[in-house]
Amino acid sequence: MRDGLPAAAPARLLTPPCCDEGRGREVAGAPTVVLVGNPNVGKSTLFNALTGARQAVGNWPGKTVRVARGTWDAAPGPAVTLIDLPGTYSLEPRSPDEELTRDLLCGAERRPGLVVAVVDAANLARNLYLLAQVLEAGLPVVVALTMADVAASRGLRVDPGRLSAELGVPVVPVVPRRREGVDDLAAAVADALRDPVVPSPPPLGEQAEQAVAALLPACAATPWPPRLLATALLGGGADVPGVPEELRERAARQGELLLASGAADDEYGGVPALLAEGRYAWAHRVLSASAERRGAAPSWSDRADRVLTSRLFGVPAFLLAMWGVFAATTTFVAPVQDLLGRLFDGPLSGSARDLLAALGAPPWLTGLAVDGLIGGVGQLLTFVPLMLVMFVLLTLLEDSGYMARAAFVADRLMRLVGLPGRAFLPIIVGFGCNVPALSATRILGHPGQRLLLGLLMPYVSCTARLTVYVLLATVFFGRAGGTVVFGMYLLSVTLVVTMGLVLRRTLFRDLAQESLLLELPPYRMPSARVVAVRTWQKLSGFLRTAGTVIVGTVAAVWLLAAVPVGVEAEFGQAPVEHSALGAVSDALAPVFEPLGFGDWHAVAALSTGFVAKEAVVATMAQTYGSQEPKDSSRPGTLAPALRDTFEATSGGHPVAAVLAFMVFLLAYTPCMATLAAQWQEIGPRFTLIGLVTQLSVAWLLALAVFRVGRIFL
Amino acid sequence: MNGALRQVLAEIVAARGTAHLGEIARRAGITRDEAEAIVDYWVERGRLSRDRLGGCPPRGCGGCALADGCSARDGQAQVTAITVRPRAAREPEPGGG
Repeated sequence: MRDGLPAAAPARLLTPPCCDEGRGREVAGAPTVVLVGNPNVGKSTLFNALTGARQAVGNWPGKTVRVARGTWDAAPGPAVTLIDLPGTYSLEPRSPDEELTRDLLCGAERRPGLVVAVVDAANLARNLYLLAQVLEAGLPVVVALTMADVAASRGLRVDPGRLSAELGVPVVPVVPRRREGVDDLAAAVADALRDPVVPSPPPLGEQAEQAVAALLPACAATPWPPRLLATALLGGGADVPGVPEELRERAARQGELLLASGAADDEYGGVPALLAEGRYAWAHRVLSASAERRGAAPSWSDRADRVLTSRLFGVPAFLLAMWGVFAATTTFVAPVQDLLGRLFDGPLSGSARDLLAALGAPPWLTGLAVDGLIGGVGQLLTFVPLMLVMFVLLTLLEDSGYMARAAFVADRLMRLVGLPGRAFLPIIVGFGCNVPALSATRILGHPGQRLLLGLLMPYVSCTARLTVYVLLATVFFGRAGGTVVFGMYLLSVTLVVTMGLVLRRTLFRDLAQESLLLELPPYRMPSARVVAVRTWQKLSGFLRTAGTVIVGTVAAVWLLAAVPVGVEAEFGQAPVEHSALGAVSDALAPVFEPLGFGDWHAVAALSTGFVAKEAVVATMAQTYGSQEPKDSSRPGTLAPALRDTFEATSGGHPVAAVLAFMVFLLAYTPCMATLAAQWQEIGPRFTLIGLVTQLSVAWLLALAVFRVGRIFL
Repeated sequence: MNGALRQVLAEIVAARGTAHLGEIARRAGITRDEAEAIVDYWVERGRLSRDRLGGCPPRGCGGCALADGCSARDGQAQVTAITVRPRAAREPEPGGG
């Protein structure tokens, strides 16, 4: 054996007395070759390609780790016993699998004659770390280079010849699935077995090498590979069996010297990190010399990121993208939505009313079916085109990878005002629904952070509120509706940030910031199929959930509207103003008069909105529908009715009043489910504090919007 | 030795804010793959923690009407957060070999 290293203790060949399952038969006296590599590098596929059916799988004696063993006719060389060692990222074991790999590769009892290191060309940096340790084991090594096609698809071309020169061992490209390169690998293994060469280990840096050299003579007196044992002991390898205590103490003293000299730093991982630093530096040199990345310039994805995640353009680009989504949605869809609204308000409701009258249905049934179900569900259905377009656009942004950048940008925005670093995730979830977002606050480590975010979450504008914004924005703002809706989302973010700042500076002063590194997925071309499927999933999910809520709320509102209060009338016969619904809403209406919408319709809608925001539009349709003349020829009536109401309640400033209404809707309690989730996450006391705060903030904000708005609008 | 291993950790610790791996790799003069491998090293040793963000909370997506089509749910275009672990939470250094 040619060797530039101190001689290792005599090694016995690996002859495992295990693996009695299957048909593996060893050839007597055959050399043992082990396959070593990271998980998922194609090692087992290569093992199967080399051994075919001549293999067996079983637990290693004394271990619960399953190991595959087989016979490989490595022509032109001799048949060898091939063992597929469990995948590992390093020879510093962190699991029984990895410990077995370490022990079989370099343990004292049995050692292989040769190592085939399976190296993934697409993840060369990670794979070279393990290879650096394998090269310390004092065994002949042949590298089987897999995944070259995957590396090429990522723009990375690995030159096997140059890699071999850098490593000092043969490198054979293989494609195990197609058995490509298998013969070349057999030839390289035969050569290496015939004329074994122990490669030089990677240098670990001057000071680390001095410490290793100081330990090598004593390590050579053990059955372990001396250099690997020296680095293991320096790295604090307490689990290396059979090592004299004196040697451990000597290694500990060398470690202390490295720390004292400043070569290693406890704050940065101590001596183990110093050794790892040497291995990564070696891996970097090997990579630089043997692999080329296509094109010297950064990829277009990197170039796009420099703009879209930059401090200067990140936030404006995100806001522009979101404005584009809302503007496109409302501009393109408003005419279709209006058409559908007229269809439900007019011919459909009229026909249903006529049909029920012809069937002799009682008035209460007509009220429930036409004003309630058709009116409420019909209003929901008018949002289908809008949701469709919006979900398509959002899915395009998601599938392209941009939304991940938006998360990055949003995170920066949150930090800017002192919110916890990763709080952006629950907030983003909250734009869909506050309930799961409250559960998602558990990703925050500090209880104070969870509490803070739990209190802020109701101000995140969920999808259910969007339908109300869109309805009112299109009725009162026409073509500028998209911008108004976008403004509501901006206001939501501003509200979260402002309330966060207030709470941070009062109740949560001791919350520490954390550093955060994000791995962003690369940009990609959205797939039409994925976009279509996701859009359908979102749309159908929205309709299912909203439909369930609406039908339930419509029935409850109808019931309240049917109970007479203060007048002599039968059930379902009293005017709705004199029903339980009308009476309660009327009683509450004065509270909202200063805000410009002190009307029982608006109050009834806000009341059902307390249960679920999906019900607001349906309640509007239902309460106005109850009052409409039963004239089937009359076209859509909700929009003019809304305009009339806000005109009347605001003293001639309907736009200011409707803005105040939307702001109140944004800021007050999202729904009962959110309250229940808060109760669970932050407890009853803070839930009640939050509830009172939300109602107060909503009322004050709406008051400010109306009072200021009526000066200009 | 002040190499990439130490520099990557130092950059993350010192960031006091958000960064992404591409930026860190550029500053350390290494490839993104190398930076990922180094982050893995520190994650394995308990200095950093890695969490996939965007997954639905353990109890599911609650009443979220968008849950079925949520891209965060199926791992598409997910963001992974890497954070510095507080000292108390770090695992003891493993044995080498």
